[in-house]
Amino acid sequence: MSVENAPVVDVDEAAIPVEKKMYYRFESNDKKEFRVSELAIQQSETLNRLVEAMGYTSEDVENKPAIAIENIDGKTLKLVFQWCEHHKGEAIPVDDGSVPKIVEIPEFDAKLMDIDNGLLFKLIWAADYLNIVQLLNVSCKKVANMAQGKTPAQLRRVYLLPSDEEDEAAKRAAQEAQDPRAREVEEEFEERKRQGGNSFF
Amino acid sequence: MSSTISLIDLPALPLKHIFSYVGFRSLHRLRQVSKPINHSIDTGKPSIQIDDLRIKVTSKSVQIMLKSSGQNSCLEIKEHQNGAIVSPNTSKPRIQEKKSFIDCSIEALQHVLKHRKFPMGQIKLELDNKYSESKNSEFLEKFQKLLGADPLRVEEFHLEGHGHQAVQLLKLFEAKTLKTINLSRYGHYFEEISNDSLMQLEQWKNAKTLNSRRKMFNVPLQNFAHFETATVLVNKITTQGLGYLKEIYTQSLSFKEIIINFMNSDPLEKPFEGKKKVFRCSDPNFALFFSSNQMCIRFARVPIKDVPIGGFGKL
Repeated sequence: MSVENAPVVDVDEAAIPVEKKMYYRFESNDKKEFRVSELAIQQSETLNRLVEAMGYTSEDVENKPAIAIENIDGKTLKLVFQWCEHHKGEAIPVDDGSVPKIVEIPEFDAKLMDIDNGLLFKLIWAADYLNIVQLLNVSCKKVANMAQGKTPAQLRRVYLLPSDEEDEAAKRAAQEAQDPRAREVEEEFEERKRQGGNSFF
Repeated sequence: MSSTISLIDLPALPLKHIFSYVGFRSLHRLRQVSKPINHSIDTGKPSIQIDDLRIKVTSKSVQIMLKSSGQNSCLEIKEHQNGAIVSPNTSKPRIQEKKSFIDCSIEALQHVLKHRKFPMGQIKLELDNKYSESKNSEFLEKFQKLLGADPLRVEEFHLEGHGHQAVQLLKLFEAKTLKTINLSRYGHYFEEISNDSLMQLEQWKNAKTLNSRRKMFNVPLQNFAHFETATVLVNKITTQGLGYLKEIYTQSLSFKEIIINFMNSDPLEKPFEGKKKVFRCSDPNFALFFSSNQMCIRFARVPIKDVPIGGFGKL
C-alpha cells in the first residue's frame, strides 16, 4: 500500500471490509478529524488503552465527539495514523535490552518519512507520546542516519540546533538556575573544545 | 508540542534511541555541537553498538580501529619524548603530556568501552612479540585491570599473538557470548601449544568455531571435538583420536566441518585406512564424510542426498 493510499482521512465506507470493524474518530489540536481502525490503534499503546477505557460502542463512535489529541497537529497526526494503518496487525517489538536493535526502515516508512526535518521531529515526538514502539524505532533510526559523515556545523544545521551564541542567550540563565550541574557540564564541554573538541577518535 | 521543534526538544527516550543508532564517531561529533546535546548524551548514557574493535600494540605505539554503526574510526597513539602523541583520523594530532602511550591508549579504550551494553561483534588484538616486544605484557596487564570483573561480551575473538596471551585474554570474555576463536601469529613463526590451560577455559569449551594459523597443538584431538567448525594444526593424529571424533560427529546435530593438518601420524587403522569414507549419522538425513591425504584429514557432515548410492563405508 502506498503512503498516499493509506486509509486515514476520508475513509471510503464501501472499502471497509464486510466484517464489522470499528473506526474511531480522533481530532488533532488544529481541529482536523481522522478515522482510524481498531486494529491500527493497537500499534499505539497510549491510544489503545484510552479506547479500551472509554468502552465505546459503534454508535458511540459515530455520535459522540471525536477523541481530542491536544498535543499533536493534524499534519503530524495524519502521518502517525497512515503509519498505524499500514502496519496494523503487525507484532509490536519488545526491547528486552539483550541484543542490539537492528532497525531496518521499510520502503513505505522511508517514503512516509521523506519530509522536512522539523516535521520528522514532530513525528518522533508524537510516536513517543502515543507510545508507538516501531514508529519510534524507525523514525529515530532515520534521524540517526542523517548524522553520517557530518561535521558538527553540518549537524547543527540538520538537527535545527541553535548556535552556541543563541543558546547562551536563551538558556544559560535558566539552566544554571535549575541544574546544579550546569556549571560543571559547561566546564567539561569547554575543556573538550579546548582539546580540539574531541578527546579520542 | 510547539510549532517548530529541533533535535534537543525531543524527550529523553527518543534522544537516547537516536544517540544509540548514530555510531561512536557521530556521537562524538554531536558532543561538539552544543552544551545541551553534550549534556543529553552524558545523562542519557546511550549504548553504542560496536561491530569491530581492533587493537594493535607495537613497541612504540598502539593503534585502535573501531567500527560502529557502519562507520570506521581510527586512533594512533605513539610514544613521544614529552608523553604521547594522539592522532585521530578525523582531527589534528595532539600531545598528551606526561602520560605514556600505553596509559593513553587504555584511557581511549575506557572511553570506547564505557558505552558498551550489547555484545561486540569482533575484537582483534595484535600483540605478537615480533613487533610489540615487552609492551604487550604491560598493555595486557592494564587492559585486564580496565575490564576488571566485568567480562567483555564479544562474539568473535581474534588474537595475533601467543598461546599464554590467549589464555589471559579469553578469561576476560563472557563464555556464553563468545562463538568464534581465531588464533594466529605474525609472519611465518609457528608456536607449539602443549599444555591444556587454554582448553580448560569455559570460553574454549563453549566456542563453536576455531580457526588457528601457525599454532601447532600438541594435545589430544578430543580437545577439538566440541567445535562445529575448526581448522587446526596438530602434532600427531592417531586412529584412536579420530575414532573419538567420528563418534562425536556422527551423533552431533550441529557439527559442520573440521580440517586437521598434522605433522606426524602412525599408519591409520580401520576405519580410517582409506582416502575417503562415509559414515552414517544418528540423524538419518545426514552422513559424515571423511577424507585424508598426506598431511591433512577432513571430517564434514553432509546431507544424505549428497552421498552416492552404495557410498557408505569405502568410497
